[in-house]
Order: sequence, then C-alpha cells, then structure tokens
Amino acid sequence: MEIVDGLIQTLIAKKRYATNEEVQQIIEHVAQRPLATYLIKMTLWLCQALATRGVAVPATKLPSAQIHLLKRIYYDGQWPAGTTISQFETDLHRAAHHEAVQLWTYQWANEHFAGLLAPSHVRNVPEPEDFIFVAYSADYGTIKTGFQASGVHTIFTEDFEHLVRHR
Amino acid sequence: MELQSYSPRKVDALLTNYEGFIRDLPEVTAEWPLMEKEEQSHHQVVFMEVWGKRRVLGQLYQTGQLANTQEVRLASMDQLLLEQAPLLERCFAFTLIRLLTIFRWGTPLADSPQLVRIETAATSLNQLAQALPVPA
Repeated sequence: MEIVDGLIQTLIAKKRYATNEEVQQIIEHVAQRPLATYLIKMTLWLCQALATRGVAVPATKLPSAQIHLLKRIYYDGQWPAGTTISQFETDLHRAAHHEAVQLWTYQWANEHFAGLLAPSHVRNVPEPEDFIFVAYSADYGTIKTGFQASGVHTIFTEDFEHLVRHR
Repeated sequence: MELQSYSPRKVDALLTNYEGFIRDLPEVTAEWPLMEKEEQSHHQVVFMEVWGKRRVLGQLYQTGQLANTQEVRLASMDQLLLEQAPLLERCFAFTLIRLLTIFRWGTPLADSPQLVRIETAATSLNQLAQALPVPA
C-alpha cells in the first residue's frame, strides 16, 4: 500500500486533522493517481438511457471511469462529447493541482476517501458548475469519480462518515 | 444551504442520475453476490454521488424550483426508492430509517395520498420505533 493511502486511512481512523505537510502529500498523491478502470457490467437501463441520447455502448462491460464520464457528458452536460478517459483524468488531476483546492477525508460504505474540491476550469460545456469534485479511494489507490458541483453543500450528506475538512 | 438557481436542464440531469440509480437497483442487487469487491465499490460510489444529488432535489422541491413534470418524476422515483428498501439494505447497508431522510430533505410524497408498499426487516421497524419521541 502507498504511504499516503495509509495516511488517509489513519486520519479517518483517528479522526485527526492533517498537518500542512500531510495535506500537500495527499494532494500531490491524488493529482497523479489513475482513474479506476475495473470493468463494470453495463446495466440495461444505462444502455437504453445512452441509446436515447444517440450513444452506442461498445461493450457489455466498460471501465468504471468511462461509465462515470459518459454520465458527465450525456446526463450532466459537464464535459464535452468526445472527451477521452485520458482527457478526463488530466482534468481531474488539474483540479487537484489548483492552488485553491480544498481537501476532505471521509468514509462511505466502509471505504476510505480523500475528496478534493477546486474551482472548475471546464467551462465550455452545456452545464458548467463552479467547482470540480474528485473522489479518491485510499483503499484502491484510484480516483473513483469526478464531477462538477455548485458547492460542497451539493456533495456531502450526513451519511458521509468521519467527514473532516483539512484544507 | 444556499441554492443557486438551477436551469431545467440541470434539474433534469439530477433527476436522471437519481432515476438511473433506482432503475438499476434490481439488476445490480441481483448480481451483487457475484461481483468482485471493486465492482461493488463502483456502485457504492454511484450511490454516494446520487444521494448528494437527491438532497439538492429536495431543496429545489421545497423552494418551488421544480416544474410540475419534474415533481411528478421525483415523487415517482422516491416511491420506487422506498419500495426497493430491502435491496438497498441488503447490498448497500442503507437501512429504511436512512432512506426516510428524503422526507426531511423534501419530497412530493409528503403531501401524497398515494399508497407506498414497503417491505423491511423487523430490525428496521425497531430502529424507527426507537427514533420516535417518548411521550411525556
């Protein structure tokens, strides 16, 4: 396991705030981690929903990140049509590197996460928002999802366990 | 919570994300025991996103920012969510008492005479009972 993943898990387990140095370590770490590529079976409803939007799904299983990206493009209008996984990953890394990035740690369904929120640079899309949120799993060492959001109040609910803002 | 003004398209996007999760539930939960943990984690992350969006929908409903058709769609999906409570409990460890949060957030169901049929474990009923105020 990566040292920083262990750090995220420890911050959550011990309910403590990260030092400034630890905050930087986490941000630098997330800003170069890959998107989750585990193959996920496409559900019938998702395939139909995409088909009504003119999208032919190429396979019965797609990488997790690609499923999230398809929703960002065709449900949310938050990324341009034709965005590749690599471009999506670059955008999320760029968000993590933003000088005004905010950092949280939390648990969801017993999985340990670092959540980063930064001003969005993805503007030339049908429905841009002010921020980009990046959810990084310390348990899998991958960025699990990213999406644009109008603020932190649209992301976290009381069901996020041990939610702590570090920056 | 301050709510910006949401365009009809943004509201539809919130509803589509919510509906997608709910419509997928029977298929996802049927295959859940066969999934590797990483695939289960993917669906947990989808729920994590969707639940935040559901709270926003509640606030949009309470502030009168949903069109009639959007209110109808939200009520329909909330009803389906509740009726699938056993699936959420079994696979997402999300008990009925947590799902009922939608009534605090705001749901058209709160004013609806519609019957909602919910199956739930007796332990969930006990949780609900324990959360009731004790009479003086």
